[in-house]
Amino acid sequence: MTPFDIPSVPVSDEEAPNAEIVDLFKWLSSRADATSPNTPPQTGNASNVHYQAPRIRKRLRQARPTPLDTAVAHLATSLDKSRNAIERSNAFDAWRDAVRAVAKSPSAVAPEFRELLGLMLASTHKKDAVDLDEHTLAVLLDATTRLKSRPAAIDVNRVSAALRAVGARAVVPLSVDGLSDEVTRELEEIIEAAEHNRL
Amino acid sequence: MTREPFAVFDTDMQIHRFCEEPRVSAEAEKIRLRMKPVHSIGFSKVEFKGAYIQRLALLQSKVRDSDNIAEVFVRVKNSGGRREQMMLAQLIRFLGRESLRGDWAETKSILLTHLDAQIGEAWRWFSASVDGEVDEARCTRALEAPARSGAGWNVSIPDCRKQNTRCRVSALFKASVDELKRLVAAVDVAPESEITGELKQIASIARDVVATGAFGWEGRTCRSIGDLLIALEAKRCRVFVTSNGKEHILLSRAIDYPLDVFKHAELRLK
Repeated sequence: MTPFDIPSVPVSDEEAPNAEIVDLFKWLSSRADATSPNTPPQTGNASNVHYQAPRIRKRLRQARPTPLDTAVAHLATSLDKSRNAIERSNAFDAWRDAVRAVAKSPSAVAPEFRELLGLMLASTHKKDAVDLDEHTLAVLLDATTRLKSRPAAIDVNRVSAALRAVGARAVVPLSVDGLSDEVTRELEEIIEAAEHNRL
Repeated sequence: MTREPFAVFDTDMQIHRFCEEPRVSAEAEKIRLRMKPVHSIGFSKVEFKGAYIQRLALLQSKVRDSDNIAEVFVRVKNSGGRREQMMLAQLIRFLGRESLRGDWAETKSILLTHLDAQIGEAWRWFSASVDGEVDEARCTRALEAPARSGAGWNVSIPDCRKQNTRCRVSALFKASVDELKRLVAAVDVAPESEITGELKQIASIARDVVATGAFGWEGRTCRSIGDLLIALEAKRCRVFVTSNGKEHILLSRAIDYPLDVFKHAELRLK
């Protein structure tokens, strides 16, 4: 293969939408420079020179951030003391939106994954960044990171204990003993609506 | 009798701490702080599993297996009852109805996320939320946490048999014969209006133990006389706190333990 041999590459945008556009002649020049700066490109000998279409796209694998990567980044921002309060609050809200979006996904099926998500969401329900100290945010950051790599029961137990240690409560009061009449009426409305397939 | 320095919360007191009604749960927490240190009884975890965790698992199973919210509520009512429907409605109220108005696949995922978390977390919370545990009976069933089973949960409470039980409940009853004799005597003289179905069952078991020296623990006996088992374990505590006055007023007189009855019904907002 000569320095001017061009490897077979996809030529259409459909095949490689993320590919970098490479100028053919610049590429050829750079290959020529790499081998023999003073040797001009060979011409006229078809067996040595291979041409492709003028626009060549190299396929690049660019890692796209997953929703959990985004969530981790938001929470890290929320913990960043060099940011102002509004930025940190917005970052925390963005983290919660990202985690809620993950919870909505039918692909979030592994029980331990759901448990961990549920613990984080329940412990931050109706809470703003100002309601949580840095220790709690650090626990949430650790929990979100654990979600990225198939959490096991041990991860759930550790996060549960860590949340308790920082005073964050992840249990939701669902007992129906001793409810007020007002709450009972509200629940009955919900049941009636649900039984008609609307909420 | 030398009393232990801690108070004991009955199972129902722990459940009151889970109550949505803020006056009830807030008051239960105040009592817990006022009476610190507070312990629970090991066997209470079995009662809690039956009264609360199993209900959550029912909801999780029906949500998982249904095609829309209406089907969930119908199946929950048929399999459980109104109470279980109310629990699911509580969860929906907590999350906000608007957040669950999307398509069923999303709603189902959100509900399952929270139900899965609550099944495990409620169990962990039960022991973590008190300062210690009394477990003279070394209840085997109380060690059996909710366990994941595929996409669902195993929250069964098996009948006790020799093959699956290593507890010391027989020893506890044998060591409590004097208390059981006083209990039988108290039930025999109590007005009929004070004798509930459970007290009758308790008295029957107590008579057997006094007569034979043996406690027939196999099967579900302990679950049918949970109040007595808990009372025997709590008898040396500083004070026993319960909202279940119906059985414990008589039990506390007979077995001799200080009692504080939590009148939660009076706290409900009208």
